[in-house]
Amino acid sequence: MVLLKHKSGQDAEKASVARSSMTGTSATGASAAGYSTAASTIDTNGHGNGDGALPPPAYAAMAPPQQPLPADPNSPEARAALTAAFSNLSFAASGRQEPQRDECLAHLKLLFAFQTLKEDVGYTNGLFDLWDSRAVNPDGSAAAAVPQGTDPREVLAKVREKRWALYVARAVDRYERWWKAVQAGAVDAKSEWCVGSVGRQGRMLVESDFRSSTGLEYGRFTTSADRISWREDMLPPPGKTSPPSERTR
Amino acid sequence: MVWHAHMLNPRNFLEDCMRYGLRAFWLTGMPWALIDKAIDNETFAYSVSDAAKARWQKMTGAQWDNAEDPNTKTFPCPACRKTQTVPWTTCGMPDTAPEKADAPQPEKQDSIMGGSAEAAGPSSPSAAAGKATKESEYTRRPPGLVGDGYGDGAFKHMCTTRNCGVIIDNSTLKVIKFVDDMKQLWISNVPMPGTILDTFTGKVNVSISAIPKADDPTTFPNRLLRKGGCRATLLALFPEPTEAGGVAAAVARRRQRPTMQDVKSAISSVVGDSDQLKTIDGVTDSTKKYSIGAQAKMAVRKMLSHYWENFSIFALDLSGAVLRQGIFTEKMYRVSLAFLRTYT
Repeated sequence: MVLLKHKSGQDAEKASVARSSMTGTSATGASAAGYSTAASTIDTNGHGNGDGALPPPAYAAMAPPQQPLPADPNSPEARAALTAAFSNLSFAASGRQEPQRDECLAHLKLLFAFQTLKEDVGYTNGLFDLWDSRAVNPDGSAAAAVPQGTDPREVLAKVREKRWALYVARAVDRYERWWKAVQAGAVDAKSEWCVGSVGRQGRMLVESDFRSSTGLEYGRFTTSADRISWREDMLPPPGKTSPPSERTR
Repeated sequence: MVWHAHMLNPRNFLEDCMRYGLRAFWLTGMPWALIDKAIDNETFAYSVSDAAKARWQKMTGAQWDNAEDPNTKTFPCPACRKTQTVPWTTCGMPDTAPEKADAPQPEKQDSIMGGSAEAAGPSSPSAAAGKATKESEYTRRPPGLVGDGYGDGAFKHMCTTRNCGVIIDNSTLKVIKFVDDMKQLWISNVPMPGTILDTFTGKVNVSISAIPKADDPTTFPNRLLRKGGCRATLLALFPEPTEAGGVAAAVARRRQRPTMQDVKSAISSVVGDSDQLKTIDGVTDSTKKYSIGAQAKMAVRKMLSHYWENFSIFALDLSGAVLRQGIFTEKMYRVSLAFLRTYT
C-alpha cells in the first residue's frame, strides 16, 4: 500500500514487484531498503527511510535452482509453483511500513485476478450484445457483416476489445458511485468508514481548510492517525465475479 | 480494479481523497489481507460472501456484477437539468449464429447481457424471434464497433426536453464537469482540482497554510474564476432554455456546443489583462502593469489539465488508466509465470 502511495508511474512498481518475486525468500529488509524515495508525498520526518540515501541492494550471486525452471508457464508444474507461492501469506498489522514480501505477493495475486477478469470479459460471447457471430461463423469463415478483404479474426479481436472497453467504462461509473457512497458513509462518525477517527470526514475540502497547518482536513491530512478497520463485507467488486459463461478462442 | 488504477496515480489520488474528505480511506490503503483471502490461489477468481455483495448493492444501488447493471445511463441535462436516459452502447447486435435447440429464455429482460450467464447459446429475445428478417437487416447495416452510446467512442445525445435540445457529446461532458466544479467553488468554496497540492512537489502546500497571501500562486485559479471577467462567459455556456425567441433561438442554442477550448479562451483573456489580474491578486498600485508569475500560470494549466481528457468526478480519466493498467498487468502475468522460482 505504501508502495502505491510513494511511487508515481508504473515503472517503479513493476520493478519492485518483479524484484520481490525474483529475490524470493531473501530478507524482506534487504529488498525493501532500496525503495525509499525523496519524492514522497508525505513529510520526511520519521516515515519510511527518510533521506533515501541508502544504495539499492546488490544482486547476490545465487545458486542455480535445484530443479530447472518450468519452461511452459501453463504447465502443471508452473501452476503448482504459483499456487504454492501464493499460499499462506501473512500481513503485518500496520499499513504504513515499507511493503513486505507477502504484501507484494498478494499484490501480484491481485494483478493476476485483473488479468483473469480481463480475459473472462473479453471471451464472454454475447456480453453487452456483442456476439462472436458478427465476426466469424461457427466454421471459422468470415461472417456476412465483415467487409470484403478484412481478416475475420481481426474483427473478432476488436469485438473482444470492445467488450472490455465497455466493461471498463461501466466499471469507472460504478467506482464513482462507490466513492460517493464511501464519502456519505464517512460523514457518520460511527460508521465503519471512520471509526476511531478524530476529526470530521466526508465533506468536501473548502478553501478555509488551507489556512490551518494543523487541521486534519488539509495540513495534517497525510500524517493523521485515522484508519479504517476493513471488514470482508466492505470490499468492492473488481467487476464480474461469476465464472465465465462462455469461452470461445 | 478501478481503485487500484486510481492509486497508481498517487498525486491525483491524494488530491481526490483530500477534496472529498476521505482521510482514513487514503491513510489505510488497500486491505491486503482481505484481498488475499478473496482471491483463489489457483483460478485467481475474486469472490466474496453474500453479505458483502448485499452490502455493496445497498450502498451503491448497483448490482455486484457489472454485466447485470442496466444497459442505460441517466444524467441531468446541463441546461434544463431534466434527467436524460442514454444507452451505454449502440454497438450491440443480435447473435447471428445458428440457434441451438432448446435455448432457454434469458431471465433478465432488461439486462445488458444478450443472454443469461448460464445460457448455452443465443437467447436474446430478438434473436429468438424474427431472426431471419433481423439477420438480413443487420448484414446490410451492422452497427460498427465505435458507437454513440455513453460508453462508446463517439457519444452523442440531444436533450429530449422541448425547447432545450442541447447536444451533449464527449467534449460537452468535460465542460459540464468544469462548470459543476466552478459552481462548487462559487457556492461552497470548494477549491478547483489542481489548486490543492503544491504545484511542483505534489505535497501538502505548506506555504498556503500560513497567513494567506493575497497572491498565492497555487490558488490563483480559484481567485481567477471568482473575480475574473470570464465569470459571466462561463456561466452562459449552458443557458437555461426559455420560451423566448421561439424556434430560431432554440436552433441557435442547439448549435452552441461549448468545448474546453472555449473555457480556455475565456480564462486566457483574463490572464492577459493586467487590470483584472490586479483585482484578482489584490494589487493596488495603479501605475505599473501587473502580470502573474510562472507558477501561477502553471497552476492554471494544471487546473485545466483535469478537463482536457476527463469528465469523471476524479482528477483523471480512469478508463484510460485502467486500460493502461491492463497492458502492464498482462506483461506482469506473463513475466511472473515464465520466471517464477519454486517457493518452498
